[in-house]
Amino acid sequence: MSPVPLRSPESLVKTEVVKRAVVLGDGLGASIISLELADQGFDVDRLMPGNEPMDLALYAFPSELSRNVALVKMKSLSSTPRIRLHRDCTVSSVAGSAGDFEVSFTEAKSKGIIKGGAVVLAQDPGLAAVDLGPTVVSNSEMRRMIEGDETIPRVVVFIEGSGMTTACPAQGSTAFIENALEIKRKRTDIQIYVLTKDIHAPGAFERTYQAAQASGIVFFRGDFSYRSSQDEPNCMIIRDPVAGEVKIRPELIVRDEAFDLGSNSNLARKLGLSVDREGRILSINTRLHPGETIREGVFVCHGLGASILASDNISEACAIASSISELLSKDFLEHGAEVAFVDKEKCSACLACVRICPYDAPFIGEKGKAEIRIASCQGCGICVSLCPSKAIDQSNWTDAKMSAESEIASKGASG
Amino acid sequence: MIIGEQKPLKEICDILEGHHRILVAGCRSCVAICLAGGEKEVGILSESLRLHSDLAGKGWEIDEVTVERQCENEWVREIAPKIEGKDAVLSIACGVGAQTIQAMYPKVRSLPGLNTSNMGAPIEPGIFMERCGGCGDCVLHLTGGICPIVRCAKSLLNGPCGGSQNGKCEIGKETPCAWEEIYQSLKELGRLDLLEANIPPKDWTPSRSGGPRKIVRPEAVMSETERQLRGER
Amino acid sequence: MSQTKRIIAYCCEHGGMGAAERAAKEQSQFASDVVIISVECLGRVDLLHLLQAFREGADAVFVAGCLEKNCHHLYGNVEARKKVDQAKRVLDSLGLGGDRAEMFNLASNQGLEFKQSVDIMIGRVERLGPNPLGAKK
Repeated sequence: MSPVPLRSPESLVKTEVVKRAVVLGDGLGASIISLELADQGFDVDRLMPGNEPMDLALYAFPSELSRNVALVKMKSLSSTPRIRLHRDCTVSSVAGSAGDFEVSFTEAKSKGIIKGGAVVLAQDPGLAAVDLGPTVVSNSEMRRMIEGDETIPRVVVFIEGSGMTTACPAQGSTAFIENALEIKRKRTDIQIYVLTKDIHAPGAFERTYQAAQASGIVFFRGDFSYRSSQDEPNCMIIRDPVAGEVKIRPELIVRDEAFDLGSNSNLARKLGLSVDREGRILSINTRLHPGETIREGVFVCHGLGASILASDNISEACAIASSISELLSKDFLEHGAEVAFVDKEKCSACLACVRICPYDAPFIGEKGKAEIRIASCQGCGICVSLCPSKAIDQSNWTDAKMSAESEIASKGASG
Repeated sequence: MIIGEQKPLKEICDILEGHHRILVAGCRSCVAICLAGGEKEVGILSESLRLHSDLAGKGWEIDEVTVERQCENEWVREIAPKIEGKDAVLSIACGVGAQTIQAMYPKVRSLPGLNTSNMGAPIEPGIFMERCGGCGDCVLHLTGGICPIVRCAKSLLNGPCGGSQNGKCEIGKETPCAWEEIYQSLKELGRLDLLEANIPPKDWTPSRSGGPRKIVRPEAVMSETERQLRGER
Repeated sequence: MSQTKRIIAYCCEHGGMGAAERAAKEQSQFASDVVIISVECLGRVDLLHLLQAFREGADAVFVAGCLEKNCHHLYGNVEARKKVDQAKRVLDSLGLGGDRAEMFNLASNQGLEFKQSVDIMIGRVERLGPNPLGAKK
């Protein structure tokens, strides 16, 4: 056997990158991504499931000012030249590979196809159907009551948790602060209590939190417990290590939002993405590779599914826009350096490779034998190792090279 | 397809006792698909045998070959150069393949490395379930597409036995009762009326145990005239 | 044992090599040579490669990859673990000792754990003795 590791020439496929992003969604994340990319000079086609972008009641802002700024930004979407808005859309399929996708969809009954270099699923999860009773509202319903100048009862208690065991996004209880302070500003006589294990008050929320405490809103934090009184109707007893036993009579209870995290799973599957048991779309690494999924060129923005704070949503959206613009700023994508390839003579068409590949790269082609989509193959080699007929090999890590290396390593190790 | 499983390594080594130049022969068909006897398994088994030979000082020479289908004379004929000089072939194809090799090369001992088991299907990757009993008298049209011969432990033909509990067979909690499955299937098809059809006691003549079964397709058999005209090739 | 041990490590380009490189930068020398073979993903490593290494005289072979749910390619490390378990059964069956083969899940910053993995394999070789096939190579 040759002592020199064997090399093989690289096979390359060049994909010309279409400088357009297709953004699916109607929430804050989708809006920010669209605006950021348009700013960078890329064309954006935004597909919304409904008629209008989602209203901002679901998001928590640290102040009225920041909420209004976001509103203005959202309105500017329709006048930004690089952004094309599509309404009443349903996506039927996303074909192709990074740099060259074809998104098939219906827009208000007529069919359309858009070609794009990157696709991002930025649809916020839908609300879970929760019936909590007549005296309980969700945080976003509270916001609507405030904005609509509705009459607010005299004793309002914000309690963290959504009344469901799952589907609570992060920082839900932080979202209470904005609404609580807003109520207090309009009606100083209303008694407000906030019951939460902990408050994270990042950034501008710190100022809002300080103002909320100064305004007389009572916060119960940490190791408290509460129950309904057995003796008196509509009476809640809170036991707090500092305050002792406190009795209050809530007239309105506000809970966290409850989201149906699986509401996007059908769309995720159409895009070739995996979802976990709760329906969340899996992304590779939210810190190191924001928005990236197992399918190159397809991104996911979790939005309200990850956090209810507007600042978190905007940060996530900006990070994802940055990932996308990195992809779109290339003129060509090259694939093929480490890919697997099939020797059709040996292939038994057993489907083992088709079933195992994390990237759905192998498929049974017209000749009834397996073929590998070069642009999808990420060179992991799982199919190479698994193929029962040794029909698949991998450039750069061929069987011959692996054997040669093993031989050298075993023999030469004694030094 | 045919489902088989490799014999344990120790048993294979015992079977090979007394032989020295061994050809391990695989197949690209059924046994490759059920991950027992394809080219990859040929490689792994060969390496295991070489390891054993080196450790135990057997002095074995292990060679490898994989053919498209080990039951076809044309393909088995092609491995003649590989058979040259060997005193044994360890076939990890199904029993048919092992026998085809023996018939083609009567002077070289053909040894089985595989236990051929049944006719079945992969229900998920790596898991193969017996599905068809090869009884030669199929009644799937009466049982909603569920074979009562192999999927029922007693091969009952007209409903479950008293051991059927909660949809499971009395032989084990993991085995579904076939007649429960048949009932559900017929219900889904809207054909529970088929349960009324009495399937008579089975005529086992077309099944195994009665000599090797021969099936003939007259149109494909070469007539005497055709043989004469074609001559030897 | 004064005799040099032959230990081979298959490392994936992500968790495995990261940990190995970290170990090389941070830690003192290992008590034995370790030859590292890198692959893009441990999913590429097959039972055949592990058996070949032992036939060529390796005393121990381990594969080092990403932490269980953190494989860069989703589950290449899980695939590798199945092969390592298979290798252990074959090695036990042949009387070589299944403990000569092992799999370690490491994050790319776990240099200390990489060194500890090497130490574990060295200990196993000392317990099981050198590979009888190593002497004649």
